Amino acid sequence: MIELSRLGKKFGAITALAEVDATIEGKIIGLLGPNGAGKSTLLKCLLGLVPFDGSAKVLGLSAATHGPEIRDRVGYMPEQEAFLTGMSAVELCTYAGELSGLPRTEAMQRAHASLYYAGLEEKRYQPIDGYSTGMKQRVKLAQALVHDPELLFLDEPTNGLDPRSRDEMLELITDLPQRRGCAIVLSTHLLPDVERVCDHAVIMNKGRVRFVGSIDELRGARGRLGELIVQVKADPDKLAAALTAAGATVKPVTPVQLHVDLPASATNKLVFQCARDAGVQLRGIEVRKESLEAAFLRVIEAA
Amino acid sequence: MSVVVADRCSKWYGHVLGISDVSWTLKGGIVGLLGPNGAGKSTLIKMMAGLLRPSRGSLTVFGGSPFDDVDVRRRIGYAPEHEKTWDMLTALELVEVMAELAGVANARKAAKDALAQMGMTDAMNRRVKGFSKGMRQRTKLATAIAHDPEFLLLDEPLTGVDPVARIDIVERIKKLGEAGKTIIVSSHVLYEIEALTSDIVVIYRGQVLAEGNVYEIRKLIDQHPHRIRVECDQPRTIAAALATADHVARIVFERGAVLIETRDPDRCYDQLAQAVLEGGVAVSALSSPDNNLGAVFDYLTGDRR
Amino acid sequence: MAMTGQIHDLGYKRYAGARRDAGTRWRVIMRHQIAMAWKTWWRFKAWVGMAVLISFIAGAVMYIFSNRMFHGMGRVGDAALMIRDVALPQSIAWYCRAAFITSLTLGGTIIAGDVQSGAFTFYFARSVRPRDYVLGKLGGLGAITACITMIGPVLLAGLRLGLCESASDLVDHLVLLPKALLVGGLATCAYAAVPLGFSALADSRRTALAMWAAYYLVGGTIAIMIGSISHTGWIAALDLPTAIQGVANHLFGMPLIGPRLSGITMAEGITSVVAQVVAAIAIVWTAVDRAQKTGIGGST
Repeated sequence: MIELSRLGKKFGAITALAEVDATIEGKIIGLLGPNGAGKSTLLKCLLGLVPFDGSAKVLGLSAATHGPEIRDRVGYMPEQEAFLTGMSAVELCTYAGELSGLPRTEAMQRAHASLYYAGLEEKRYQPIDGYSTGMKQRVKLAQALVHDPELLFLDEPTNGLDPRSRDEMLELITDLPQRRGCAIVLSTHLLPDVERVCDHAVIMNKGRVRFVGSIDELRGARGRLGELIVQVKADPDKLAAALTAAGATVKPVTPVQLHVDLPASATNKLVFQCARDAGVQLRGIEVRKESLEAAFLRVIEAA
Repeated sequence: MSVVVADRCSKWYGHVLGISDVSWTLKGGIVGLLGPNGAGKSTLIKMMAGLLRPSRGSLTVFGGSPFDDVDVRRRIGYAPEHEKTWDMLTALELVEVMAELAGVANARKAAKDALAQMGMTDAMNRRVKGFSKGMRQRTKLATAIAHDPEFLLLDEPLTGVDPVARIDIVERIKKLGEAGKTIIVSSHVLYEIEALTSDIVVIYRGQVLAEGNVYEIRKLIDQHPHRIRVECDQPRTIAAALATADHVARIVFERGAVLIETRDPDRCYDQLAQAVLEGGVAVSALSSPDNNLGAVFDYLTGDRR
Repeated sequence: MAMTGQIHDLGYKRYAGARRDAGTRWRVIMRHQIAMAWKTWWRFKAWVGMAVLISFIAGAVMYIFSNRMFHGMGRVGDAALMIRDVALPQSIAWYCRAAFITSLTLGGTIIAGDVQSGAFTFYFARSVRPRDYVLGKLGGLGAITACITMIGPVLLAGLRLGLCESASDLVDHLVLLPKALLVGGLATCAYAAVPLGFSALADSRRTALAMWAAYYLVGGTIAIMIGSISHTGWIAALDLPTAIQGVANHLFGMPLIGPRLSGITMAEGITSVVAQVVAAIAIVWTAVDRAQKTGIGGST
């Protein structure tokens, strides 16, 4: 879907991108990295807006020579405000469609459809200038969808949204690949959003791509089965004693949580048995997985 | 003594409602302030910071009015969400100016200390203009603590901050809390609040809807019985064992798991453990999916008409 | 009778049609610009009304003083000039005023406004190239300004032709039409391009507008003063309305009366306008080209 080969970009003395080689595939791909890692430069190169060294192909088209065609097939939801004053949502989306090459009536129909999808029903005839933050984010999403793109770039789509709207936006994003057959690149700093929504990730740091692959590859989907996090109602030390006596390695973490490494032949049943014996109420068992945050830091720090 | 006491406090802007009849006490610690957009969070914060006066009722900080009393304001540090900074100043100059305005005696030293506390010692002589969002947030925080206030109001302190900087800033805020400062953190990103504290205040439609420890609040939400999810090889065995219990409100089957909704989680967990051992069920995971801030917030603000 | 029911699949349909060629984008932008201008009464419609009024008054004057009854009165000074010949060139100044007001309500803030509202991100994330944007905006503004500065003079020229007394008189005066078009075209270019150039000079609408107003009013006055004191035509011609009026007077055979207009040759007038228009377009082009590269990507 996106192929980069020795992609480089310098702004004067500053190297924004350095010899990037990567093939990026997936349904919903998280684009992660600290500030200044080169994400926005990468985007500009992929959309064919700036010249660059090396080669970059998006949807099979070369970004160096086919920028406008790529932009016809790609939707961009920017982080910042990107509107024209004095227009309603419908007018803006229709204009957007026309600017991407759709005939007027087609653009109008799709504008309405996109606005419905984004959840802006009654308000879509009112001028955008009066919209709340949540509504503005929805319009930004709708205008990125109106021209039927095959690939969407979403830049901090949940910015400024309250928890409910954030949830709704993430639901919309998760739905998009099935409903509209498009792939998504999601650029964000919020790792829990990525965990919820993405199946692949690209991590950048200091102008280089440090990781490309699935989320599972990034943090090891299945932690080792015997390594557990155990939650109890109270008295963790009693449970710890019972488990240690049975051959497990136990480390207390909080007043209600233990990290437990079971002995080789044991199953989770051992935990239940020890809990019953110790008279402790079990409230949670799960396999210890590296959190996405920890995996991310690991990748960044290895650079 | 309580840090903030609001007594039947209301704020109206003409016809527009800010907060309405709020009676609330803040004793101390790190407290998360949550609420939908437009619910009254910023109004409450601005009133605590001394930028707004109550239309009715009273809101006192450290026993005095922050709007009128300069001495009270000196004990408060406010880091607003949006700030137009003077970009051509360096970080040190900016914090120093703000510290002087707050009446600090040795402003330069205070500014240096504050920036050091926020990890900005290396960058303090650079112009704010070139700063990343993370550095701006840190500078903003330094401004808020330069005059060593006892009470901090942080409005969206982590917006736009990348994951690496986020962990750092969260740690620094926690350290400030451990040093004894009372801190209110307002944010829409619930995981940020969760990383900092379990004590929350929820503002909804201009009023305080809930306050206190998240898990305690959870227990009080009766309409949503506790959910317990058991991933195992015999979900129906578990279901059968619990179906006759009177505290069980609903049992839902998922692929490879069973979800139990119970009004008495204590008894449920005990009965569950018993069923597992008696039935020889292999349990791969046990969790309570809605015992967290996100679910609590959803339940509190979702069902209301 | 059998009962039936149906649920229709309202699912998403991909767009399988053709997309318009990239070369047509500027027309979309131009149409949009005109539609936006037409929306409120104060941006544009009012000043078109003013232009219509000017045309009406000038036309009425032409008509009344053409009447045989008033022939005696219809002379201006020594030269065998009739009021009906003078009305057209004299009205040019008024059309310019209307066009200037429109540039204040519309043209002088276009690019600064787009910068402020983030419109460039919107445009350049799509298959719009800088040249499409510039061409579209110029075209749109040009069409809007032409309604004021082009249609009026052409109508008046047509009216003058209609007032001709004989066929040979008509043929003699046919050249009025291209002359009117030339003057109208010059004014259109000036009042479309130059304010647009100023709107690209600042990031804030208000600043851009203030700069344009200062350049036009204050700068223009200074140019006239220096030009008339030093009797140098081309300096005075730096003031746009003066240059345009000078060209009009030359074309329509009006004497260049007054300190303001004396000494301006037609070449000076045309050069001044063209130079300013070209400079403005260059500024716009550079600004938009730069915006395309920086407009996308946000803070990270």
